[in-house]
Amino acid sequence: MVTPHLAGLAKRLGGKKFHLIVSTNPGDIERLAKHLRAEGLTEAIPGVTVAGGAGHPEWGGAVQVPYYVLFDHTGKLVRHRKCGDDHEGADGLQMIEWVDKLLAQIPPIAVGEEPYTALADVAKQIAFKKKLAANVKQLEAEAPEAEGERVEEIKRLLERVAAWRDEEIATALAYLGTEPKQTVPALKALSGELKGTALVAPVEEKLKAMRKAPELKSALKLAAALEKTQKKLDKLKVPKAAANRGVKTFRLDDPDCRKKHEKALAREAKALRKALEGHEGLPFAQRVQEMIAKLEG
Amino acid sequence: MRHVLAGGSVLLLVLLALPAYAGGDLEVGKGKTIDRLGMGTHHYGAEVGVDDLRGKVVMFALWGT
Repeated sequence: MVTPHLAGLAKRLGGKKFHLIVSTNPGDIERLAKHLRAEGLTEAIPGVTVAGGAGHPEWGGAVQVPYYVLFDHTGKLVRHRKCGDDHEGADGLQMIEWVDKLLAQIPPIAVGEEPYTALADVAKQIAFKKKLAANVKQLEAEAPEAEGERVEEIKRLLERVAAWRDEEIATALAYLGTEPKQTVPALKALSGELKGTALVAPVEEKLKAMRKAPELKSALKLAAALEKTQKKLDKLKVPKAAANRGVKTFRLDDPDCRKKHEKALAREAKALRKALEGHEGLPFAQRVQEMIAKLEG
Repeated sequence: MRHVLAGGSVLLLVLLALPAYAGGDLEVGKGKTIDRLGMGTHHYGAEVGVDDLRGKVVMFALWGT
């Protein structure tokens, strides 16, 4: 179900600043390759690699597939999730939005498209977020007394970092509507990256406010309620009629599964409605409402 | 009895050493970079190493059929 979207992404971005590595680990690579080709992910698309047994020590292999891991242009692992919509914790097709967001964040200097002369080395380091805080501190210190072309380049670089900071703050706040647990850690990570610079002030302000924010507490409660429901759904047994059709785990979109657990679904919908009371205006409420709609069919 | 106790201790140590992860999300943090990506056995498409991927957004997709 997700593979055509993966193929679509690779075709749209083929040859640009994006590379896709598809692997199965463990698993039958021949079988996977046949499936991928049938869905349009062929060797004709530039920037695609299909390999057997690829992996990363951080996630070991104890994951449910399909699973994606994203690295930004600096090589930093920025996100990994199950994808599609039939697994606990899966984030649908958010992988596509994340790739676009990360592509938009690649600074032109990182790919040799923006000229810096006096500060070429520093600009390159900043583009790859190497010694980011130290470099920013140095630029901030030099700015008042800078001369010649350094004035404009320092200004441009600090503006770049500030723009990136603002995007990261926006991303952290957007988590309130999707994964509230990530809001504070994302702001903390950003604060760490800019520690000791003048640019960190708005991040620390937002972090302080967010730690006390009732909207975050409420979003966390709603997310916990949704997670609880999802866990209960994952434990529901698949009826024989569905199992005979190859259904392996409980699915809300399967009529036999729904019929067998009609009462449990109604119970979960009721519990979510109760959890939602008084929080209908929160961004995360939409996720809960979507689940209630699915539960009630 | 001593063997049973020793075995139990080993099992406990193994359980304590396991990461607190069993199919959910892992925490993304420092030191988690593309440098540690194992490229596996090339099957088709571009044959690349980690150094070829610098400056690009990279998606590693662990897929099933």
